[in-house]
Amino acid sequence: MSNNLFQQCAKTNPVIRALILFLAILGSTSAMALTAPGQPITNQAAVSYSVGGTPFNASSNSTSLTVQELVDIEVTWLDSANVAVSPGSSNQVLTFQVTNIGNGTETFALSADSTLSGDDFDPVLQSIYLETDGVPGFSGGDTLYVSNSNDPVLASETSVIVYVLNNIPGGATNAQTGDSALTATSTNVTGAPGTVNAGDGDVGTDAIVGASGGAASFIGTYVVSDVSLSFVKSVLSVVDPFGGSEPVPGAVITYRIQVSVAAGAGTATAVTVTDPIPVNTTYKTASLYLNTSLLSDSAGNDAGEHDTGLNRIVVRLGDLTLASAVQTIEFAVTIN
Amino acid sequence: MKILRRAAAIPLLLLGALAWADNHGPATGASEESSNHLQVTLISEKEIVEVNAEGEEVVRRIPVEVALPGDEIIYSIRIENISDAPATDVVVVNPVPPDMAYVESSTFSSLTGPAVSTGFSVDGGQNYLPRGDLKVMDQTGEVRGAVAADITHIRWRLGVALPVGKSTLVGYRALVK
Repeated sequence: MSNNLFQQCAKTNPVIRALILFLAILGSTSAMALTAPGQPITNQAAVSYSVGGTPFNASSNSTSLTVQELVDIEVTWLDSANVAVSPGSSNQVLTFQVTNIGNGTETFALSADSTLSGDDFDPVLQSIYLETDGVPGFSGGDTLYVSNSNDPVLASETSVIVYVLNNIPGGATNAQTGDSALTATSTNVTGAPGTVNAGDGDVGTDAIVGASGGAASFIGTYVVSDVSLSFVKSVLSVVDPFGGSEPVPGAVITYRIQVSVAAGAGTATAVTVTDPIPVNTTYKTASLYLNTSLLSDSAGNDAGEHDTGLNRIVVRLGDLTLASAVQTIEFAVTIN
Repeated sequence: MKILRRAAAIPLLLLGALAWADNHGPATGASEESSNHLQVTLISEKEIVEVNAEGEEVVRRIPVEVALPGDEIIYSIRIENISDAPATDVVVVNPVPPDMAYVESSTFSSLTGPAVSTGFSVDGGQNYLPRGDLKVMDQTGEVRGAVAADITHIRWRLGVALPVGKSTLVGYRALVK
């Protein structure tokens, strides 16, 4: 006995331990898959021992359990931030992901609710689409979801992207939010965790409700991102032919237009400024500036031109937000 | 010093001896396979929480025949010396079933101290080490400490003989993957 103890101490001695330290090479680092319904898990223990100095082996009985089907689901909202919308806009898209986190194959019914409390306005639910065309983001190639008709069937640990489309009421104002929730519900069994639908799991196992209760929801949010632009036009200078500043024929008037986003969290896209040349004046060639850079009078080579057909100046400012610098346009005309 | 060391060792051995259980016959419900000397019984159970008449939650163990991913199973191995001679060098090995993951710090034994030492394997039972010394290498060649799910086998080495007519119990918990 004391000899055994001595061996035991030697085996747990740190120095000896270090000598026999070894490394196992893992076959795979991929995520652990859930065990499939119907899978048996058997176990058996082995014992070696000595009696009277002779070594022997013995085995235990073998035990076995059978894995049943876990019905569990997860819904997440994929948009990275509140989806910016304009008042009165149609078919604005919220993007969700529905994942079967159970271990069997299940069919899930989808529904959306846009009449939630706790937000500023109620979006108006239009439709639910399933991502089917392989092109990321909602597009015309995706499939309209029809309840009881094309309920998604998901294998264990697979998911489907779901788009919820709402109209935004015209009365919503800047920075107001509106919520819309997507719910996915198992068509097999729902209820308190542990609820059993006997024999209706995969391969004849019991379908048993997991922590989700067999249904899951997630709220997505729109935010009204109105933008209001500020245009300020002023006369920068009047220079008459006599060295004065009288608006007489032959005098040159220089106009300045300043454009900026005055309010709102959104983006004004492709802002284009057009300004007609006043009657009884003539555009002064090579006088069009954007932010102190001279623009050519002809079209197609830079951000602006003098449109001779409609006798106006045109300047394209691109996208503007509250953070954008004030855009300054200047041009001159001569009084006829 | 020598005397002191011996004195310290004796209570530990006594503790080990106190842990022997008397025989109560085979556990019901488990099939048995006998060797000539040791009867080894594996019991698979799970815990369920019930509310008793007083409204208190009580945990009860039931034999497990069905389970779900995430369920915790308790594997208990009882080794009984049914021979007429003490069994020495008793080593119990149990592979963690492939669809299960060992639960950290869940091994148990009716023996304590130097009377039992528990080793773990991450290489299919070829080598056993104390839990804290286990390392694995992932596919990128990076060496890291083994996580509980890396463990493939558990081994209990008895440092004392199993007397005639006595039994001992070892075991662990594992989660259905």
